[in-house]
Amino acid sequence: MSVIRIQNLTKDYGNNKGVFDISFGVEKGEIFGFLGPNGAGKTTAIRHVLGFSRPQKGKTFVNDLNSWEHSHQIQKDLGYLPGEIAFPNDMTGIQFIHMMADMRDLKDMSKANALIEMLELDPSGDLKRMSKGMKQKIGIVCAFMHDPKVLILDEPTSGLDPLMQRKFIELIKEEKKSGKTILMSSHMFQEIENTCDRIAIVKNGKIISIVNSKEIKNREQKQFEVGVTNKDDIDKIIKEDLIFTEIDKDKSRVKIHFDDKDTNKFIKILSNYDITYFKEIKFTLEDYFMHFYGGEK
Amino acid sequence: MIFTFALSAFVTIVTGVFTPDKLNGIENIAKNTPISAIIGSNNSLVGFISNAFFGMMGSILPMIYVIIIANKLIASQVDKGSMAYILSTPIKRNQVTITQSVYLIGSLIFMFATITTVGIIASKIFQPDALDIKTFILVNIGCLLLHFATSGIAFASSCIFNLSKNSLAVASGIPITFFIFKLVAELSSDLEFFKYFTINTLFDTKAIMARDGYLTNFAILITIGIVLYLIGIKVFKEKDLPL
Repeated sequence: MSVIRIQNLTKDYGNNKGVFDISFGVEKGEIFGFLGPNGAGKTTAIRHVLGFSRPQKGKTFVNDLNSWEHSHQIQKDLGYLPGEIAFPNDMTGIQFIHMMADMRDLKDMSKANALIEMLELDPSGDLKRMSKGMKQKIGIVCAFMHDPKVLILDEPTSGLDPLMQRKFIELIKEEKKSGKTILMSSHMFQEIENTCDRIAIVKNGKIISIVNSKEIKNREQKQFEVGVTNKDDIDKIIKEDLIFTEIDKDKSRVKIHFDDKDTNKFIKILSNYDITYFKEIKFTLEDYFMHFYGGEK
Repeated sequence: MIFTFALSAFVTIVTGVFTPDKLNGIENIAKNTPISAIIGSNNSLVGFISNAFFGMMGSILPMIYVIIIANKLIASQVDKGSMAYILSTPIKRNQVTITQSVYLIGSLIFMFATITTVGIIASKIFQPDALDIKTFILVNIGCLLLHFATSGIAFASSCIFNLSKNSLAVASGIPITFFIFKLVAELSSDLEFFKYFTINTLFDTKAIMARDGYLTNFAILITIGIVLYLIGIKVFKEKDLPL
């Protein structure tokens, strides 16, 4: 049973904005990533899952409860980190955290305190005077402090410095270990690639691909860049029975594509040449993503 | 708080200023000018306060308060996005709107309770026995109910619109129009028909002083207020929020 379920969700804001007939489910204990540029419809989909917006068509469910009809019930065991941080102006960070805890009837602040410590956050200042990163940290504390079973994070690391981003990724992995279900959106390839089990690529309000991150990490197809000492070798090597994706005679290098099962053949051929260097070009989520967005860039 | 303080100070000054001599003086100056219609002629302290205080400052300041606060309670939080935090807790939308409306109504009641108390005390100090306390309280209740109805307009508008600017435009536009219509209606008998296009005339100090038909007016104001609050709550529950 999917913890978060979106069925044929459609919401048309006009001008090609919105989401159009998207469907997917996030299983228990899974981290599901939403990848797409700004305006692709990530936040719109999240709004519907949280029950802030009414779908034009289709339905969204959290724990089998309809998001729109039971929005207050689904919030009980859900942590939400909004993509745009907007706090009330007239309070301090810690006051805000306590206010949120009160609204949730949360007495046990141990997790909140642990998070504050982990994020090296000083929440005693005025929210108005806080930097974007500090506000983001306050938002993270509020989303995680009640130890919810479901987490919905809209661009969670925006505004955080690289060290904090790494800490945050650790936090996400910890949460996953304790069986949390996480839906997160981002336009940062690395954070999605490092954390998510499955990734949906969103374009113009449609999901154009859902990919398992293992497929990307353990691809059977490899690409290697090989440099040779002299230019004559280039002319010879390109006549070999290999698939070349790029040939650069000036720099005496070629890029070769092959399947794992052809590894031996590849090495045997290369052993006949005087090789200067030899490196794998890793296939990343970014490459996969660009495959869909390539036409526009 | 500031609004309540300013109004209390004002009502004190108004009570202190009133003496029958001065009032006659003002009336003589104003005679045969349109202002006399606004100031009116009523030789009692309640009559004077009703016109000098509730006619102008007592109408305008609470109106500004209501417009600003009503917007701040709902629309501005939706506009800025901080409503997302409130709604991401297990609190129902209805709970949010009802809490906010209780706050708005409660603060209005507090405001007028303070004004009434301060007014009575001030009149005891400056002019013992000159104030008809019962009528004074009724006038205050009337003014409170007028602002309750106005706050209904502002609250409903705050619930309906997602942008502060739209909410404020409607919440200030309608009550200000009503206020102007009331002034216009009082200026000349030719324009008296304007009184049917504004709720401000339902707060009729003359009717209260004469104890004539004012309860109907009160009832209409209460009904308008309640209906508008309910509309606001209903709309907010059903609408799409850009959070």
